[in-house]
Amino acid sequence: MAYELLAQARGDVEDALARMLHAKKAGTARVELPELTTAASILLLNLRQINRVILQEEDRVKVETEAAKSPLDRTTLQLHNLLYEKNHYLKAIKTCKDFKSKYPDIELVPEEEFFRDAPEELQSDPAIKNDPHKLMLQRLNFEMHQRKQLCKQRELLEARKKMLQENIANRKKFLSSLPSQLKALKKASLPVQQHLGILHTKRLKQHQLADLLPSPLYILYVQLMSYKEAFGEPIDVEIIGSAKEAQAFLKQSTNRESGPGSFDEQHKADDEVLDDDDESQRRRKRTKRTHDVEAAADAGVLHAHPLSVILQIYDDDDRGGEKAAKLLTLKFEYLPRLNVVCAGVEGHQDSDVHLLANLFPDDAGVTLPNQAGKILAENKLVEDPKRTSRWYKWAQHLAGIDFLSETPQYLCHQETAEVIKTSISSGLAVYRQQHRVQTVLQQLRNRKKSQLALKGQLDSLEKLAIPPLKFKAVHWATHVPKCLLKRWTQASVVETLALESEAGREDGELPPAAISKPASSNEKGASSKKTARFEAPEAQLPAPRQDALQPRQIDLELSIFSSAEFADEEMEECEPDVPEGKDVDLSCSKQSWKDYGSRAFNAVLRRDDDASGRAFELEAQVTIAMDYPARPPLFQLRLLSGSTQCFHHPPSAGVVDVTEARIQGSDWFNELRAMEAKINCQVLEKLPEWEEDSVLAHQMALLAYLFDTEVDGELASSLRRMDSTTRLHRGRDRRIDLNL
Amino acid sequence: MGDARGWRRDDFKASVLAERCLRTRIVFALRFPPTLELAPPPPRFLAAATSDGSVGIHPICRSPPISGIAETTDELAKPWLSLAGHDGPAYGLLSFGEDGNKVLASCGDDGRIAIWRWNDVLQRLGSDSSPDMQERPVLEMKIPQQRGQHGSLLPVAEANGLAADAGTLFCAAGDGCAYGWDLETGQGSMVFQGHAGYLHCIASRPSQKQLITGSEDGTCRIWDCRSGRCTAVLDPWNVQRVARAKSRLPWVSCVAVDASENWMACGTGGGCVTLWNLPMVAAATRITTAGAPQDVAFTTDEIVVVGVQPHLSRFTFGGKLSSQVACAPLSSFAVSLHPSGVTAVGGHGGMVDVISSYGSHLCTFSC
Repeated sequence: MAYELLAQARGDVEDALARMLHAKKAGTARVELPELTTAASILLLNLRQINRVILQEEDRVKVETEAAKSPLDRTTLQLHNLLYEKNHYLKAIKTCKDFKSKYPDIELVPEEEFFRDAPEELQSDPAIKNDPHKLMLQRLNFEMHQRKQLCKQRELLEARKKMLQENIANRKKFLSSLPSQLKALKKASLPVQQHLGILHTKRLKQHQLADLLPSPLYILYVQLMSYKEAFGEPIDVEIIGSAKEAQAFLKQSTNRESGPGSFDEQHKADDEVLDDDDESQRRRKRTKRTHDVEAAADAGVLHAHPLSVILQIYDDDDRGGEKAAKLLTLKFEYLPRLNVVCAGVEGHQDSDVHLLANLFPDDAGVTLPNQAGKILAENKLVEDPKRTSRWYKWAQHLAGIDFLSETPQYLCHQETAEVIKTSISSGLAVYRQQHRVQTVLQQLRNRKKSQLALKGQLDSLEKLAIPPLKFKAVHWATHVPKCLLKRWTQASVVETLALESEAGREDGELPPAAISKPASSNEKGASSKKTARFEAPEAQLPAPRQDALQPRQIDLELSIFSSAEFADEEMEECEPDVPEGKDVDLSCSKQSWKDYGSRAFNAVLRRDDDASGRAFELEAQVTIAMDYPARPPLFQLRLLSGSTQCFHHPPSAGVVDVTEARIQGSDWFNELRAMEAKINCQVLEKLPEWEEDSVLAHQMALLAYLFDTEVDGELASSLRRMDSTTRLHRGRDRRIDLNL
Repeated sequence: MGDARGWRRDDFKASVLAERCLRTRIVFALRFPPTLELAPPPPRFLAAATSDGSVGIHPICRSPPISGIAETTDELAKPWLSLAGHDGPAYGLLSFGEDGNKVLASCGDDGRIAIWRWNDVLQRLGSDSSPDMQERPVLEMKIPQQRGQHGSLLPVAEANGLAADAGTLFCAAGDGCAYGWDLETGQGSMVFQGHAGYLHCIASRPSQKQLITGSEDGTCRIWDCRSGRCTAVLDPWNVQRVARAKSRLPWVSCVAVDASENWMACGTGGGCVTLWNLPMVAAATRITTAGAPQDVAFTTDEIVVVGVQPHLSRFTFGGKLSSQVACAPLSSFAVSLHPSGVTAVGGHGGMVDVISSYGSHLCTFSC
């Protein structure tokens, strides 16, 4: 209101002043001015009064405000305090709320487990079930209880661990000292080893050598070794040769592609290295040297790998813990150029040269078993009788050459090596399935035993005594021979061959059948040496036709019994005008595998009959092949003397009498063939397996028995009439039924 | 047999023995198939009886003969047709009967006689049936077993030879008797007893109803078939007619009667063949052969002899050696003649040699 009054007073003043100004301007000032001045002064006074009122009012309001301000301030302070307090509390609450207890981290046992396992005092509070907190507390207590226990346990274990560690440390210390002790022991044991024949150190060396073996020999070695270890087979396998050389060889082979002359260098290097090596090396070298001299062209081809495997076979008969006798020592060599494995008898005598031949059918070890080798050798390989190591097929089979690849592994690339690996592993599986090691060992053992048994029998026969028989359950074993062995000689093959061909040429009067082919007849005679030898003496008899016919007869026999190679000979025979000499050579080289290494003996049995004063002599050609006794000795018989010399009465008058020249050898022909059949074929069927090795003795005994029986029959027939019920002969061939 | 890879030792042994046994086989008898023609073509096959008891029909393969000796056709010729065999060796074969109804008879060590019809056999040969299948005989006979002193059965006597006349089949048996069977009924009708040794061979002389046997006792006997009585005892060794054999004589191995039935030849183990005139019952010729004869046969004017010698010999009735042909077996037990002139010889080694009328070898095989 005061402001309105003030604004009005100000307006009035402004009006008064505006009129004064107007009056001044209008010139009328003198009239009105004083009045106006007075009115204006009053108005000013009025204005000032209003202003004073206003100020006074203001002061009053100020005092009033001052008075009101202090309680307000107090309240405000209070408010602030409270707000602060509130905030504080909120913060505290938040802090509390945010507080993380440790217990969720503690893996407590589950409740049910707690109730089950906790001790009674922790569970005794009845409120525990309703109050989870208490429950929790108790659970925690339980946990703590448990943990304390575990801690204790841990301490215990720690202590034990420490103890054990100490223990271990002690032992480690002992162990570290052990090698030196063992070494000392090993050193000390060497003489004992030597003495007892346990060659442990040697074996270790052998294993190192085995790594250097060419793969065929390696397979051979490993298979023999594992067979020995798995089955306790009484054999010994050993690698001989120098490791140095073998390493050099391996390196050389790897670098072979570098230059063609490398092999020869290697060859020379070998010779040098050889000089400072042990005994066996020198021996081998010597043989090699002779080879070099004899077949210089083949030296590289016939050069053997520096390492070879020695296999010793012991007798497998159980002799109650006694050390078994050594039967046989074999040496296996590998000829890298030909990729063949050779086997030979070590420390052999002359009789053992062919011991390994024909261990299996058609395996004389003369021809190279692989085609590649044949091409490489280009038929330059001359048969060397001194060489005892031969490439038998069974040796290849034993070395797994049939599934090994021809190229050595170190020359192969990665992927081909992989293929080779699988093929080898499958090959080895077949190898084991076929029991090759077992088969070969069995055969070797049988062969050696048979040969030993045979030798015993031959020795006895050489003393002109029929060897004693163990198996008595046969007729002839109990028969006391009335005849005696007059002669037993070994027949030489070469000699008889010469005789035959000579006989063929001597022959002047050839029958029309044979006259066009004398050469081939001779060839045949020579090729069938068994028959030829047997028939040869007949050539001197005064029946020329018979002689001439012999070779042809052999043809026919051969055609039936000899192997397929005969077909080739037949082909040759068809070609006319083949030079004779060449033919003979051919036939000699084409000797059948069955005859390989076979020996021939000539036996004569004699029976004197005092009563009639007659003497009978029977000649037997005995051919013993290498596969004795599976192939029993072949007997071929001939009556030398004592045949029935028939005496003819002069014919009655009116009868024309014509006499042909008699053929010698026709006496007893059928009887002798029947005897041969019994001796060669039937005897084996009567013998048990274990008696097989003495089949020669049985055959000789049977021969004596049959001879006696025939002679008895012959003598008896001249004395008395045969009773038809107790007759000796039967059938058209007048065979004697002995019911063997 | 295998080698080091899968070795079968027993198989190897068996094969060696089998090979050996093959060598010891003997062909005991050979017969050509019958022909109706007078001048027939050479035969295409023949029947053979061997010591392993088999009787089979074998082909005659005519490979071109080289230098007189035929190439062997096969390592071991398999028979075209295998007839049922004997247990033990088969000793004899006989082809007989009327035209159109010819039969083949075999006999063997088991004392059995089996008869087949040639027509059946030829039919089988014509068909392409398996050669391993055996042809059943149409008729079978057995030699009766003799009883010993105490009534015990003696061993079965073997049948060594066969002969036939119209309607009757005769067999030379191992018990020293010859037996006759009536072919109509198949029943045994006759026994010819008298020899002191077992019989080796037999031949018949139908025109006179006579039977001739040869025995181990060294004599030949001529029998009357109607009465079964012995009409003559011959000693071929000493070439005379005897009442009974006085001393020990070499066995009579073979006997044959010629087509005219006037001549009889017999061979003895002593090594001679004697020719007898039958109407006169007298010896005409004695031929001492190189080896013991084991089979004889007649051509129209010759005696064909094989034996323990590798030849086929032909003699005239006068005893002159007219030809000698080498043959495959070293000792032959069988000779068979074919009207075409082809001759077959069989013997040791299972060997059969077929020789043409000109003396060349048509084929040689082993069975």
